[in-house]
Amino acid sequence: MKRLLSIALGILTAIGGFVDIGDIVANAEAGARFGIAHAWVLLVGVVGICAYAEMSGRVSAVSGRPVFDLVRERLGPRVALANLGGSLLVTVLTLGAEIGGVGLALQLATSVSYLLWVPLVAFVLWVVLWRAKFTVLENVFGLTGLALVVFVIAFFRLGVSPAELWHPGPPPGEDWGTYWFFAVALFASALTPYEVFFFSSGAVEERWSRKDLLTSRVNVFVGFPLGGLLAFALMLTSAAVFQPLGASVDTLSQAAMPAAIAFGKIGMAVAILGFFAATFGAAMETALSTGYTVAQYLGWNWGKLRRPREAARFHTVVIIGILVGVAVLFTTIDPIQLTEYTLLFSAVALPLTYLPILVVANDRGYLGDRANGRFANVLGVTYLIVVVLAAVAAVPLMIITRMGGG
Amino acid sequence: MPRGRASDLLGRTVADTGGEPLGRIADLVVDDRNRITAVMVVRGRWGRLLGYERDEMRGPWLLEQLARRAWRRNAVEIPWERLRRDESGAPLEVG
Amino acid sequence: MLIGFDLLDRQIVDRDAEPVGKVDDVELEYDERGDAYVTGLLAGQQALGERIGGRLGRWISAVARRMSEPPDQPPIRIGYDLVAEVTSAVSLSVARELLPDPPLEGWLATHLIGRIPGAGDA
Repeated sequence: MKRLLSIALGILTAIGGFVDIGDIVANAEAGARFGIAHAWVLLVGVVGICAYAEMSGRVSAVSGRPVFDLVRERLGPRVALANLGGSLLVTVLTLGAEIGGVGLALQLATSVSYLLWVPLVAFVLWVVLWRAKFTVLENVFGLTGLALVVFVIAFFRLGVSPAELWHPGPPPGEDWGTYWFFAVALFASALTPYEVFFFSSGAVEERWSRKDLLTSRVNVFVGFPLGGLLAFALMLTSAAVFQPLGASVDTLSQAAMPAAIAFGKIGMAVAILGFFAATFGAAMETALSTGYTVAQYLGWNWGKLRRPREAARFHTVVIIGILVGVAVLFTTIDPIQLTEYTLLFSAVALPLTYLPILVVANDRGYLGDRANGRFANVLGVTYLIVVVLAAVAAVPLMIITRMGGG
Repeated sequence: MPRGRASDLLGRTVADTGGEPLGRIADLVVDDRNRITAVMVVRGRWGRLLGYERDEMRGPWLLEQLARRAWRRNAVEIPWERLRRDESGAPLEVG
Repeated sequence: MLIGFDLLDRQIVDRDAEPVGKVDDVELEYDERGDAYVTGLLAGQQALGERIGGRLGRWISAVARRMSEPPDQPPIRIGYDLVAEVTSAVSLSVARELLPDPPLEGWLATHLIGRIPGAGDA
């Protein structure tokens, strides 16, 4: 039973991290415009996040050091500070996008503008992080996020064969530039750094040791593929509904439409509930991640299990992070558009967070017999190359395609 | 006794007796009595070796090859006694 | 042992594995023969800023110096005789309470976080 409960951490991370506002937007858009031509990117993304999270879980469990602690230790104060700046920017913007996503889900449910919901959502988010017990959060949002399974069932209900939605490369009306733009966005939505900050910090806080490596692996290898399956279902159903119409998706209500078409009002309600849980879960992870990265870089006390008074600097950073995220939304930038930007920036920021983990996972002084084996290293280096390529390609693709507009 | 910081030494250029620069100080070697016995001098800008200067650090092959190549070609360990510290704060020299 | 690799930028933890700070710099003492000994660890943003250097580093350490109470204190120093073990973290032989409080933490705990209801609950 205890083991079952601990898997909830993995499921929350996977739902909140894998299916967050970024995935909902990127998968629904890609599905509507390209069918399932990008399905392979999701596969590459899921394997990548599994490899990355497994390494960081193992490193944190055996050495007791979370990711950003090691980032500074291996890269030195200057490079790590640049990395901190970049990661913080991406994480806070993502936090803003998630809060906006929760607001949009509430707008769908109540017809009250998301901007009015934003301050309330931000306040509830802060109260939850201030007061609630972590295991409670994991279970509530992990299980509620599973409502997104409605998209998997909707796909069967819609009765479209995946073969009709598949074509190699861009369909008529799209070019290779936008194709690769969406490929990078989808890859980034799978491998977001904050997932790994959150996962490794959780592992350290729960004092995982060598004994917990199995739990860590179960979390990673069950949670992330499950998240990937949900993301794929979003892409599939969006492709099935919107591609024949030649319509594009640029609101959250359109992303929920396939569930509504398959199951009517109930389907819509379940989809909204799933969006709400996934974006709120991701908002918690990103808000905590702002505190984790700063505190771990500077060596401060941090964590949910301490009394806030004993981690005053950490809690202050989390509060500032939430306030900045809200401020970004109050510029009235469209949260969906904000999400597209954060995905691309997150691709740029990833390599400097990935490299130190790959390096430390090979350090026998830290990991002893738990260091990377040959298979983990072949995979690890392959993904180092992929991550670097995505980072290099992100900004040029953004400019050439004018944010995927073509 | 005069005090200093490790950061005063790290990153400073070391020159040989002819004034020819040998590289920058990348690390300081300390013995069991906490005494500095040697400095590691590395040519080039990237002073951090990600830990590959130690034997425990192996693989992945690609990164290890890159790091060790940089290390072998560029790094020298100079005993502390052979260093002359310049009064003016100018580069350290091998005396 | 290597100062740069084994000490600098490592997490310092007390004897109960509670975080104390990062090794932001290492204090050296020179004897009359010119030999140098490691005598202490320096922790806190002031030492870090001075180590990073440049405009940003100077700004970081100036802010940290102003935050210290009373202002313009030297950075927090932990004598090297308190270090028990150097592994993936630098472990001290004492409890955190015996060390000087990090300035910002104390100030925020009193003036901001401590004033919010529930700050003392785990």
